This record gives sequence, C-alpha cells and structure tokens, in this order.
Amino acid sequence: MPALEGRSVGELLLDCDLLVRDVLMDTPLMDGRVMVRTWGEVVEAAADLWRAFPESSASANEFERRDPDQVLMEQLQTMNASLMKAARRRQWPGEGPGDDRLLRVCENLTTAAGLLPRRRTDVRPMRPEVRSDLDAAKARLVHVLYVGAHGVQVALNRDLRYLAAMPASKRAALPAESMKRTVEARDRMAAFEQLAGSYVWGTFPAALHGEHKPLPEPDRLRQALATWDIQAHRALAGAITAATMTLIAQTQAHTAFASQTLLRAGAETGSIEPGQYRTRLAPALESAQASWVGLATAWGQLAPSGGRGLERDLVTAANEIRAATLEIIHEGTGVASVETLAARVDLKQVAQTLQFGLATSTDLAYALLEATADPHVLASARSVNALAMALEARGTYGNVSTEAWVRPVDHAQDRPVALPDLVRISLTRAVERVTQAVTTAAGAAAFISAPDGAHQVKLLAPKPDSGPHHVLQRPACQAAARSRSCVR
Amino acid sequence: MTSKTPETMTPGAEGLAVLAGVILLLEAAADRCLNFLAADPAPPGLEESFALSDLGLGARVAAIQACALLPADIELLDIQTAESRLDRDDPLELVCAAEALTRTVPIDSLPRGSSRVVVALCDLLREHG
Repeated sequence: MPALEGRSVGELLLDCDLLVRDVLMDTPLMDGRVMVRTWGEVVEAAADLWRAFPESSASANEFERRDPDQVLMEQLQTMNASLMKAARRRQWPGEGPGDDRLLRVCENLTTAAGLLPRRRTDVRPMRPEVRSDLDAAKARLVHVLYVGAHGVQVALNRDLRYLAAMPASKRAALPAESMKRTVEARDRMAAFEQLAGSYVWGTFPAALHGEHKPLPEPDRLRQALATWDIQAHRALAGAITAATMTLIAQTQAHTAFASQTLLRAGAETGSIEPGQYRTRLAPALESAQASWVGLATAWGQLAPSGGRGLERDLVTAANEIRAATLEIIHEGTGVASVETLAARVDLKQVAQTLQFGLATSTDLAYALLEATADPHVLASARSVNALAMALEARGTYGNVSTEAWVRPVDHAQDRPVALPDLVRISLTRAVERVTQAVTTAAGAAAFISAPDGAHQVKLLAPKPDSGPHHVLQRPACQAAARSRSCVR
Repeated sequence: MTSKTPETMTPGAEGLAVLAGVILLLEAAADRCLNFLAADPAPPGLEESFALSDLGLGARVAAIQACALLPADIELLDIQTAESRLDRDDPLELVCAAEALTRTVPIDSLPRGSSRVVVALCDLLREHG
C-alpha cells in the first residue's frame, strides 16, 4: 500500500537499510552520545512495526500462536529498554540533539507501521507469496537493527579512543563517569547486535528472495529520457568540456542499446510490426549504436583523468537513464527473457517512449555538432597532443609539423586546452556520422506510432541516392521537434 | 565531548591515494567497455553489448561521483595513486580491482561520502558479476 509520499512498506524498509548502511560507513560523521540518544526510538519504532505485521499462521492455541520471532523482538526491546532506563538515570549521554539519519529511520518505520492494515489470519489464511514477503520484511527489519547497532558500537568505540587520547585537563571538564558509561553502552550494544545477528544469520539475505517486487513504474523511462534530454541540452549551453561530451555520447549509446533490446522484444511479441523492425529499424539502430560508441570513444580519449566540473544534474540524469533501463531489462546478472520483459512492461507503450527518445536524440546530435564547432570547447592537453600527432601521422606526409600542437607548459600540467583544427575536424566527422545515423533511426522508428506506418517511413527515411544528409534531415528534425514537445 | 576534530574529518594521503586509484580504474573500465563495443568484430550478441554498455556507463558515473569527492584544491595528477593494475583487459576485473582497493584502508580514512562510491561499486559487481 503506498504511503503519502508514495513509498511502500518494502521501499521504506529498504530506505532504512540504506540509511543504517550510511551510518556505519561514514564513521567520521558519528558521535556515540548522539546516536545512543536516538537509538532507543529506533528500536521502539521497529518493535511497533513488528507488532503491526500480520501473524504468519493461525492457531487456536494461544501458546502455539506465539511466534518465536516475536520473542526475539521482545528480547531486543527489553535490552533496549534497560539501556535507555540507565541512560535516563544518569548524566550520560545527557540532553542534546539526535542523529538525523537514525531519526529518519524512525520516521520510515513509523510510517510503515501505519500502512499495514490489520489482518485476521484465523479467518483468511495467508497465501504463500504473502508469507514470503512478510519473511522478507522481517529479515530486512532485523537487519536494520543489526547494522544500526553495529554503527552505534563503532561510534562508541571512536568516542572511547578519543577520550583515551584526551588530555586529563580537558577530560575533567566532561560529565563524570563518561568513560565508564561509554564502555557500558558499547558492551550493551554489542550484546544487542549479537542477538539481532542470531536472526540475521539465519534469514539474510535468503529471505529477501521472497520479497514482493512492484512492477517498474510505467512512466519512469519516459521521465528519465525527457530529463536526460533537458539536462544534456543545458550542459551543452554552458562551458563545454571533453568530459561532458563523453558522458553525453556514452549515455546516448547506452540508450540506443537499451532501445534495441526492448524494441526487439516488442517485435518478437508482436507489440510492434516485426517486419518493419527487422528490415528497417534494427539495422538503423545498430548503425546509431556504433556511431554513438565511436563518438564516446573519440571524446573519451580527450577527457582528462579525474576531470571535474561536470554538472551534477547531468550525472544524475545519466544515472537515472541507466537505472530506468536496468529496472526493465536486467535480471540476475544478465538480460531478462522476452517473456519476462513482456510481463514487466507494456512493450507497445515502451516502444512509443523509445521512439520519442530516438527522435529527441536527433536534436541532441545536432546540438553536439554545434558544440564541437565551439572554439571554447576544452580537452586534456596531453590527449589533444597525442590525438593530433596520431591524426597527422595518418596524413599524406606523416608527422611533419614543426610547431607543437599544445604549449609545453600546458602539456606538462595537462591543462585544459582548446582543440586544434585537425582534432576538431576529426571530431566533427564523428558527430556527423551520429547525426546521419540517428536521423535514419528516428525515421525508421516512425512506424511505431504512425497510424499508417508506411507513409511515415517514406517521408522520413533517407533515400540511398539522395544528396548530403542535411537536405534530408528536415522532415526527421520536424518529427523530432514534435516528439520533443510530446515528451516534455 | 566527542565532536570530531577537523583532523579526523579530513581524509589522509592514504585515503586520497586509494580514491585516486579507484577513479583511474573506473575510468579505465569505462573506456575498455567502449573499446570493446567499438571493436570489429563487435561483441557477439545484443545481450552482451547491452551488459558491456551498462557496465561502462555505471563505471563512468561512479568515476565522476568519486572525482567529486576529491578536495577542490587537489588535482588527480597531484596524488600518488595507489593503483598500478590499469593494464587489465577485462572491464569487470578493473571494477573488481577498484572495489578491492577500497578495502585496503579503513572506510573513515576515505573522503566523506565515499560510502556511496563503495556501494555503487558493489552494486555494479552484483549486477554484472
């Protein structure tokens, strides 16, 4: 059942798992006292959620109905209660702020408990898949406590090291018995962790296999493609670097591979016309893939190692493209079968989304062409020099140039430099191959949404005996512009 | 009492060297994927090509995220990297090497936020291992 912010119980638990993982990993952010103050609430919220879970089996006998897992949660709650009671009685850890991440865990757990409806298993037996999902949720919940408890323990150990290294004069200013109480809390947390661990070792991660996985969001891919298109254009409107061009080209190449995987599945299941796909679209997509890969490789050579300055939104959008395609296509460590793909998504709808993506990529390719001509595009001095020398060597006269391609001082420090004409011409050719290939692919994909596919294909596809590609690009670009407005 | 001192919040040279090594390995993995995809003959099937493309993009994004963790006044060239295994052919091996490299130092000696990179590496290996 969705929460107000749209997350399911499983998603809320997963978020908790990721949060405690963060707590454990980013130890420099930790403060043991702050974490102990918050930990009690985490355990209480977890216990509330546990109680809200439906009972997995119905039994008339009250004693038999007592779930052994419930006993474990009660034990954990008791241990936590005595730790909190001791803390309240003493000055340590005292009043103060709580840990933000653990507080978010509390919020998630409380929201999840509120989402669970009361369910009577004595009148309506639990289905096996619901039982598996319940087991997965329990495993995830105890794992959250297990990892979180370890995180608190690590923080307390850091505090102890800090206290031990502190000069006596500074230590005197601290609340009395700080060291002793920190040791006590650390040992209690270790016992808590061990008890939670006894459950985790028997269930995690095996129990997660039974977790109910919601189907991919039907609109996620469309949204990802639209956001990517916008961010890529924004990035090209700013200061352009080789790293930006590489990321754009590589993401476009990946979109092309994902498109072909999904469109092939669409053709095999009859969601799109198989003949059109096989004879026109598949070869055009292969050509588009190859040209994007070629462009990404060319720009990749020119991007400096560890290049920074990439727009964060662009990187996030690229990541989302990967995540959105992976969610649909991936299974295990490979590609899902056609049957699985068809069960996950409406392949006809996905095909239309991908058609829009192909159309917008035509426009993006032309934006890249313009960006390549921009004299302010910067690339790594050493890479520019190496590529220029390689290109010159391939020429009629070999390496005859008497002037250096980049200034020695730029080369020594591998500074970003402008592109020499020789390099720019080579890159321009690579982008032109892309524009040609994606224009053809967008034209070949027009049949997917056209009411009379044949007519559209005739309009958009380039003729073999036609002139330069820019004469042909207009109808496809117009189609691209129309599709862009649809996507946005 | 236990507020962290600036010294404990700043990554040491060892942590920076590891992160720099991770960046180089991930960039090499991303480039290697592109080289394989551009090779003639191309990878045998669409499934393999998609997997290579996904691994390459994942490695590229993780490398960019790792770069963003380097202190603003430090360039990768300035860091003595902890990695010399860049000549491997298999991109997955390069990602494996990057993940293994992160284990050579305690997580708290890496720059703040490195946990996301470590998780991204583990996810990549889980998806493609």
